Amino acid sequence: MQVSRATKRRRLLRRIWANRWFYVMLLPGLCYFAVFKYAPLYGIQLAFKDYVLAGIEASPWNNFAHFRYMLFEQGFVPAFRNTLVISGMRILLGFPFPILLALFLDELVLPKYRRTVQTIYTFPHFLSWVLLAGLLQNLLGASGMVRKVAMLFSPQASETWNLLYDNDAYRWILVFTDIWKEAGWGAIIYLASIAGVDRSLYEAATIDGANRWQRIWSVTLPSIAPMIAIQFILRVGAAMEGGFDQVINTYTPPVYDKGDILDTYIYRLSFVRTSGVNLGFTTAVGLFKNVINFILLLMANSLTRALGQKTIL
Amino acid sequence: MKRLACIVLSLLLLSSLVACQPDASQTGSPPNESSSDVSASSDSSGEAGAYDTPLEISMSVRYADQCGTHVRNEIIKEKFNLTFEYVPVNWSDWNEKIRTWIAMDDAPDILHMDLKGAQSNEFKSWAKQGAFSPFLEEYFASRPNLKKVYDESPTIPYLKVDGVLYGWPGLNSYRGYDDRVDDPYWTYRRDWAKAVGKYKENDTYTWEEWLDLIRTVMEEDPGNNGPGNTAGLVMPPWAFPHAPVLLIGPPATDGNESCSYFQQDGVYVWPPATEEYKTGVKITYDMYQEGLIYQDNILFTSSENVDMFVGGLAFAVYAHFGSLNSSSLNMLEAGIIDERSDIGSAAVLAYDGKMYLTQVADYWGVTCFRHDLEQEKIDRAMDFWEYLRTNEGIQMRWMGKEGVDYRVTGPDLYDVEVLWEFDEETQSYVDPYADFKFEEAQPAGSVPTPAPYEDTFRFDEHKKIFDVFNSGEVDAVLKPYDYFISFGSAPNKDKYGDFASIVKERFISLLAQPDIDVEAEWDAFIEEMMPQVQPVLDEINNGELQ
Repeated sequence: MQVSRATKRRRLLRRIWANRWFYVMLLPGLCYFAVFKYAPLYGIQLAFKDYVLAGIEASPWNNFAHFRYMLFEQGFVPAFRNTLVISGMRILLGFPFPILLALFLDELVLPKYRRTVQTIYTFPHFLSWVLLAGLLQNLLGASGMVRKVAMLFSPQASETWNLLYDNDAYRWILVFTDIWKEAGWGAIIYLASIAGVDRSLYEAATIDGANRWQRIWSVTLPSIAPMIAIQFILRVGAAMEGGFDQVINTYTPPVYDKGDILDTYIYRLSFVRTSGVNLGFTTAVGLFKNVINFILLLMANSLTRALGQKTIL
Repeated sequence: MKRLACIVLSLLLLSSLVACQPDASQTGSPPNESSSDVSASSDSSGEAGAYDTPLEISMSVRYADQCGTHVRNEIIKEKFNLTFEYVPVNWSDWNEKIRTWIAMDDAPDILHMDLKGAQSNEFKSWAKQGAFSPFLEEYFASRPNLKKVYDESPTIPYLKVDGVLYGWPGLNSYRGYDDRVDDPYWTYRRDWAKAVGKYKENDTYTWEEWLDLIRTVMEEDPGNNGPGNTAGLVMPPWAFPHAPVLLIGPPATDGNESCSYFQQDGVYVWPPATEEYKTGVKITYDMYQEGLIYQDNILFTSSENVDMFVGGLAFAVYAHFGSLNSSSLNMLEAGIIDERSDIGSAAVLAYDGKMYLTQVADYWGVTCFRHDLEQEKIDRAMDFWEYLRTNEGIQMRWMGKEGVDYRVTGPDLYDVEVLWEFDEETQSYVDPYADFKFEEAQPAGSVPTPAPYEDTFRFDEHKKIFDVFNSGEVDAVLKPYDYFISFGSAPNKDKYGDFASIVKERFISLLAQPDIDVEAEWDAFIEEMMPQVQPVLDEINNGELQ
């Protein structure tokens, strides 16, 4: 039976009216996204204009000048490369860590001990990078504790050993401190997922003779695989966000070569360089970054689908 | 309940969106529409009753949390019916905020900025686009003190755009012998120098003596900080890593804030590309690698240099003399030193045997009016500044309220009797307002120093540098400030400036790399930079700078 368009509309309106309070509750969220996420998209055109104070509308188009300049600006390519490398390292090393942590925490049998361990792991998430940067400086700086301890064992070797200003060490410091700070927090979502796994599956596996590792491998991991897949897609989709807060608070000129990411590069161009801010250029770099993010998101989504997992697109 | 919660949430969100709208009072006219057609009309006498309408002016200030509760604010309120809304800025976000405000047309009424000549291209571009209200000549007709600044300050012509003044320089206070010479210099632990037997009676050190002194102090640790815990030289972020060699040496540079082009054999050159700059980089590198320059100075973001010195952890600090009085008293109180003369300024000759001092612009900070600022507010602010440059205004800024904090005893500026409590132990007056700031007075410029209540320790130490400089016993060289080059405008120069921040980044980057041929690295850097620098040099040398 064909349902007329008018009938469909009436049904829809009736459904909306029946759930009107849910829609009202949805309204603040929608407004948030409209105002803070969609409305600013209007400003993207700045990437193609030379900004003047009279406003975006009044700013003249510039024939892709910012994008052409981007390729020749000496800091852009290294920043782009660093962003990709650092994000790649974070995904490779940092992404599995909360999963492993959640699996191990789930295996702890003493509830009190488990809660204590989880609190210890989660706590660093609530510390700001400003604070942690100070801590790192005191540990790893030229006059920091690590160097002083090293001097006790090898005064010669430690004379030129300075982790915080070492280009090669800096990326690893970024990745491992990020894992240390965020792994506990990241594990919560997997713990919640694990908590939802049907306990009878474990009982059945135990009766079948599965040991702990086998239960993790054959029951827990497959059960939380959809969550892992979604987290992976989201993580890869934000690969061009290299961790601005962390880098801006910990990097120094000696490690720009390996540690300067696109976000910090844009920041320096906008607010540190004495030659003045170029809003059009920085918007162009931001747009470029987001396009790459979007492409990576699509790729991760396709990969996840190919592996037979749930996807978000 | 659910319904109520939903309505409240929605209303909250709507109200926050409304709150995000620009202030109606600041949306009166577009940026390119100035209020210059309104003539100045004011009574600068500051007589009671001349200002019927109460006014509040918003202004960007540092130390905003310490402003607005001083007795001086009461005086200004009483005299000018004027209060301020303080919009906070910090050293670390000042430029960031100014640039964002201007781009968003969201600047406070009075924009006080840390404007260097090398950044003036941006200021001029903003002025041309109508971001500021001009300072018209008629404003000065009835304000003789501001008129004097307008007529005499060498900065004024450079803050004009198309013949119209858009920025007001807050003049520094000089004491005659130190005309426009940059204030910071090395303050060192005289007691430690004596303890290691390397003290020079007149505090004047040759380059070799200076390095030897730092080295010996770090080795012998007269402060008992423990092995490796005494820092040699520390400096503020803006002076790192230029201060130890370049700022007190031959290269024509006045810090990382500007490595402005200068004339050499009739042709303008870029300082980092000169041999003496490279030599300076090499010496700095060697000092850093040896540890004479505190290696974690790279991480400093604020006043850590002074903190370390006051805490007895550093041998010498590069800092403004302004902090010397409080530093010495704090060190005395904490038992770090036994008497104030245990610290003092060191006159350090450069590696080529000469003594160099650097001249700078005559101002600190430039003030602009928001483009759509009401004429009444402009007039009131300028009357306020005019007053601050009168004897009465200066005395008020020095001390506070007449009759309470001081008594006028004669017609001259210094004819005052200080009524503050005198502390016999420190032999100084106790400033009851030490914790308050009066940042809204910055546009009027610095007050003459020393203030009547002030002990002269820091001034004596400061003057000593100039006494050595002018003694005829050293080969003294004044590095002059070139207004035209610093403020001059041409397309490439406006686009690239003097590349100071890039030079600083590379300089610091090289310092931290052990075992490199720093001169070769510097040559490579210069080669890499010259394709960008050369067009700017060509503009300057071809007379295209305006």
